[in-house]
Amino acid sequence: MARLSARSNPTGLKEIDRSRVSISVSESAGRRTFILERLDLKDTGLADNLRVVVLARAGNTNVRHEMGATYSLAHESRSLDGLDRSQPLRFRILLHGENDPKLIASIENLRPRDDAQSESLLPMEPAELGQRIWKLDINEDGPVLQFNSVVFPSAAGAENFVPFGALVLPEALRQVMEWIAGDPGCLVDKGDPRSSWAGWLDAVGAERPPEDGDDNEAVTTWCNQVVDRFCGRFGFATQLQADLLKGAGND
Amino acid sequence: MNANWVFPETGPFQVQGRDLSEDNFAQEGRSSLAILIREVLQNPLDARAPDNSGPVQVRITVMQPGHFDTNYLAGLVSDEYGRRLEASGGDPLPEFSTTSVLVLEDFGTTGLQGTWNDQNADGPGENWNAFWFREGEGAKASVGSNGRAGQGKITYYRIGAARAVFGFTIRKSDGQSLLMGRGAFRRVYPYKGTKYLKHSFWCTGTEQALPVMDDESITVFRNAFGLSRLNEPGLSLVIPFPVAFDPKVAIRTIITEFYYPIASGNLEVSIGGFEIGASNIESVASSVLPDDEARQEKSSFTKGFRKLVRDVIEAEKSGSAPIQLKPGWDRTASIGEEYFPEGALEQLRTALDNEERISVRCPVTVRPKNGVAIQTWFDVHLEVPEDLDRVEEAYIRRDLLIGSESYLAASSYLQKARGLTLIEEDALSAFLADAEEPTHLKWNGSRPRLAEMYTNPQATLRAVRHAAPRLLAIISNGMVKRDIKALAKYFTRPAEEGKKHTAGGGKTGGGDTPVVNIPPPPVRKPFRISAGADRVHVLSNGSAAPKAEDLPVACVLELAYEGLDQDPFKAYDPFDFDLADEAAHPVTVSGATVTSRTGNRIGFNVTDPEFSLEVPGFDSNIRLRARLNYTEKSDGTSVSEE
Repeated sequence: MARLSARSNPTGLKEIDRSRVSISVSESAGRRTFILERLDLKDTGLADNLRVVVLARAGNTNVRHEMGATYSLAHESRSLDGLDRSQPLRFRILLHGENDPKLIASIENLRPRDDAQSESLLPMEPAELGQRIWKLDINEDGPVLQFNSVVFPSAAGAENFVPFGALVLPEALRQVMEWIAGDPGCLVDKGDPRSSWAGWLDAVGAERPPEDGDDNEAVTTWCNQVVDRFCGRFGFATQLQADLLKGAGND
Repeated sequence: MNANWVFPETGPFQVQGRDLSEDNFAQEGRSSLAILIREVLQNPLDARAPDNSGPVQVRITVMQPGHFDTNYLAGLVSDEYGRRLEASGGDPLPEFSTTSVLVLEDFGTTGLQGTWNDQNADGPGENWNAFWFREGEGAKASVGSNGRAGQGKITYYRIGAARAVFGFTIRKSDGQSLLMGRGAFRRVYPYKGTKYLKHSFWCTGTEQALPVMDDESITVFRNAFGLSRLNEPGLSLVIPFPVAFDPKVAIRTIITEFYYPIASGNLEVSIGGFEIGASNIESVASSVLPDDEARQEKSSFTKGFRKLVRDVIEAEKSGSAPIQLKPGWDRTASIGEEYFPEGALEQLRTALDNEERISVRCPVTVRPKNGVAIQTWFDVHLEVPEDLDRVEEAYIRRDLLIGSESYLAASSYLQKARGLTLIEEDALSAFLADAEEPTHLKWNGSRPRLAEMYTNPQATLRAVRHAAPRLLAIISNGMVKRDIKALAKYFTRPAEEGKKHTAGGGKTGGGDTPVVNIPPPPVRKPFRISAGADRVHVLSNGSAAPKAEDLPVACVLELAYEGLDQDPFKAYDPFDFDLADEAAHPVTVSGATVTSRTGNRIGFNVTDPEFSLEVPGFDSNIRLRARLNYTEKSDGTSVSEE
């Protein structure tokens, strides 16, 4: 038995290349979320004020998220609750005009980038810390988040413990940002380990550090802004609340 | 004596209804074909001949039209059989000239042994009766064989559109050749005013179903389907009209589910003439199961994991002994250091830290209710490569992968590791076989059979399941190791700066292996489809059009509106359009004959090389998908390559 197939295109829907999009998926405390990190419509001939809709699907389940206009895309994480976890996850991006439901363009069958397969800008290592739970160690290779090896058998053990993420990571990040803000030029110096953080700041939609690294007030404000964005993106308060409620339910 | 179909009527005191064992094999996320392949390979492994020290060989062939005797098949699967199949809720039989036959043959096995002339004979070794006449119980209870629920054979009936299986066996025990067939409809059914049982038999005998035994009839059957078996013991099965048999999916299933027995030399598989054995399994796996696809399939059998499996096999063959835990290690939730031999824990930690494989033998006790407690064991093999991006693990009992068991991955407090738990000892294997769900994908400590036969079965099962994470917890505790992937979901290093890793890549992966390209190169297709705003046009494809001598070609055109997300053909609704409506869809055709119009399908036979078929009448505001299925005499691009 052989097969061939075809499809009509009566409405002139434009199909955009998948390489113009980057979607990442992460999981914390059993909840999956995605972030639309990049949507590059340069030289496609499309207007820059189209509305963007992301459809995530797995098997016969799907969720739909409005992501705003192409010129001001939402970069915060969106929920993937309700999708069938036994099926592969795929995304579809639809673009339509303001107040016009007719689809102008689409990007089909997108696979998410799996962050678990990436390397981390902030690696972890076990350490003998006495009664301290964690410590940020910054050396010439960059920052390392040390955790108490008596408390956690592995980095995964600490990372998957919801209170650790919710309470420790924002403060650890603030310390890293202070280290970066001390020399704002480091972000464009490719030989500096801090330069790797430039792309991360862009991905979370944060601004670059103040030009004057000695302006303590400006540095503090910037660090807090980055931490706020980081916490908002990963919903730490929501995660921790859900985790606490789960514990209460077990009593 | 000629064989005929016997369709038994229902009788008083008989429970009626549909077959429930089939539901056990309707696994979400696993295709009928994948489940069939498990049965097709597991049963011959169970039936290994006692004097066979080499591999069990299984041949899987899809016989295409022209390669088997269609007239003979038409005699086997008669018109009456087809009408009864439809009466039981089955689909109409397909056109004989365009369909195929699945042939499954095993060698180095015993064949269906036991009593063949008394279907009431029970007990171990009564394989003939178990195969043809039993449901929910088998005849494999003696030494921890892979299957024993007695339900797996239903998968053979599910894969064929006729729901019929014909089996020819030569028995190791007495050299006897036996041939019989059975139909397994979905439910009890009415036919010409009488109700009939769902099982029917193609057999001789009137009082009971007896096999065909005369050489002439068996030779005709063997020749009709080109069977390889001459005098060798084993079983040959013929399944007419296999639905959705994709060789690529079948090979991928063979790799993901049976890598261990093939790599260890216990099994060889030939599929469509392509041989897979210990010598080439890795090159085949490299070709059909790249690590990305293994992840998509949620299989642990990446290149790196396969290397671990091969290393374990090699170590076993060389007689390398694992470190042995002391009995009692499983009494508490965490393993105490005192259960390791002196110096062993440090040795294991050093090895794991150096990204080397470690192997530990775990003693456990099985407590049969009707006998003394049995001291038995199983082995756990672990490694922790630095660049591993997800947990990879497998539980293998004898040669069978228990694919849904996963306890390392569930232990999120542990670092990502590869783990292989191997159960080879007879008593423990028999115990775990009794704990298995009918699909053999999962153990279940609450199965009634387990409670009937063993004392405290949950404790033994828990020990096997949790040994890998418990060992990893104590051995990894105290290892100082930086985790460069921890927190990656929060602080992803930009892709162009980080190294690109795949599971099993780098130094922990296997060596380079030649890649085998299995699928034939695609050829230009004889037809083309043109989809307009409100119509679809199918026509010959220029110089690639079929030649007059290759005609007629039977075609089925399927159409469906494309929705937002689902497979349009699955999502087709009769309210979308109905091609049977000739006023709404006036078909224009030349050089072909329309044979059927129903729902979203039009069947037609192409009779002229320059043919054309146009179907108008669709909504011009919705995208329309069209696909054409057709059967070529040779060299067609198969559905699997689409």
